[in-house]
Amino acid sequence: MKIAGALFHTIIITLLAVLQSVVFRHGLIAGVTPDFALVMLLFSSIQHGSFKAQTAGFISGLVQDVLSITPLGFHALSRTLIGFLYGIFKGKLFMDPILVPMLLATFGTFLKAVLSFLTFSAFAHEYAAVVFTRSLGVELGLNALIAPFLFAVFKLAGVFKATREER
Amino acid sequence: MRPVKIFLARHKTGSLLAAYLVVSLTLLIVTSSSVKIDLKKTGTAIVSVVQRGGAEVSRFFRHTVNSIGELRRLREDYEAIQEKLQEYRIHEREIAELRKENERLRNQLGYSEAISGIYYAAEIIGMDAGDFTTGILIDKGKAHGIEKNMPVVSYVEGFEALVGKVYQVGPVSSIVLPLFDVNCFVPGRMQGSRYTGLVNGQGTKLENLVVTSIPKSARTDLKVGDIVVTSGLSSIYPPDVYIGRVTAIGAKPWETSLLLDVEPVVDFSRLEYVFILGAFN
Repeated sequence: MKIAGALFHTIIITLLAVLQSVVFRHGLIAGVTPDFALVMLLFSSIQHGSFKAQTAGFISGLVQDVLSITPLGFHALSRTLIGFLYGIFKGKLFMDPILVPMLLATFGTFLKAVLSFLTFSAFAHEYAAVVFTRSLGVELGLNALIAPFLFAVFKLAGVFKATREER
Repeated sequence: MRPVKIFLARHKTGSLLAAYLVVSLTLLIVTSSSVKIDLKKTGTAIVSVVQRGGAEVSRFFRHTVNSIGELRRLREDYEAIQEKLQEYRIHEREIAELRKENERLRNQLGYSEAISGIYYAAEIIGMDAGDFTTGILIDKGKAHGIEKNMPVVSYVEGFEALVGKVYQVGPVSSIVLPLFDVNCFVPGRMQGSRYTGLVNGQGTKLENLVVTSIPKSARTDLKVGDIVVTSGLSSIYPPDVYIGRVTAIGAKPWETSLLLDVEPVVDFSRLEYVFILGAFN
């Protein structure tokens, strides 16, 4: 059951990563699309811990890599680390319905930007200059706004229903 | 072996993390160095099935929802078009005269038709799935004859305008590197004054392109509104394809060349179809 649950999360996060590039291809606000896959990864990490989250992050990141002009491994690296780091907080946070999801999404987006900047600097330096721009500010806001809704929807759908064994 | 097993059992999360990081870094090193392995193509082949399916479903819903608003817009458009038609009838006569003049001048200069070749029409099915990168996913790939570095154009009001070049080719889909990507460099030429420069994107479709490498001495010959076209000084892009229009001319004091701000002819936020140029003279 544990493996099936983790696999299900991984598939959902991966599908979100693919679909967000197709559905919101011209962006939602100012050409920027909220990162649904990242937000789901964050909450999956909080709910299920580092072990499963880093796997979900690695696989969904790898899929993003093949659908992107970045070198293979770029997103896999950052999403694995994000999954691992957020997973550490499993069971240590009081999850209120609005504020904590917003804070988690804001910090997660910023963490993604920092990791992307470092990886770009090492492997594709020409892109390092486009990380900390106005678009990042818009994405921070969008991710923070969608986080409470997404979390509520996923919780309602039972996607993040953690088993007693996992707790 | 036993101590290793015990260690892995105790630190399974850390071990798995280390394994993922090693794999990610290895892939990064391999794919970003000169040694290229086509792992991405393999991945694209698998994921493109989901990607195309998603595009179809999304298109169905988008078209259904938009159809109501479209009817209203169509009525307004119809009235606007009637007015435009009157204007165009007047312009038509002027253009016919200009064409004759243009043809005569070309013949005098011994120019042949600059562009002739095979065009592949492609639909945009998505944007780059990555963070901070700007690739455009199209529904044509190796199976349709697409190859890496083929120039990609679009038609804007009857003119051929540059979109970018094919960056990565999958079996049935490809990724286009658009003009506004920071990694896209196009040799450009000022249509009027014939000065050449290098056109480069700023990483977002909301910002204009920049043209560098035009000497400061050319300042007096340039003005806002000048057209920038491809120069043809590269094996990738054919000459005289429209790139954009100059919106500002500046220069940094410590640099020897001008810095031109150019608004692209193509509106990337509304782009739906593109043409890939297969071969050109």
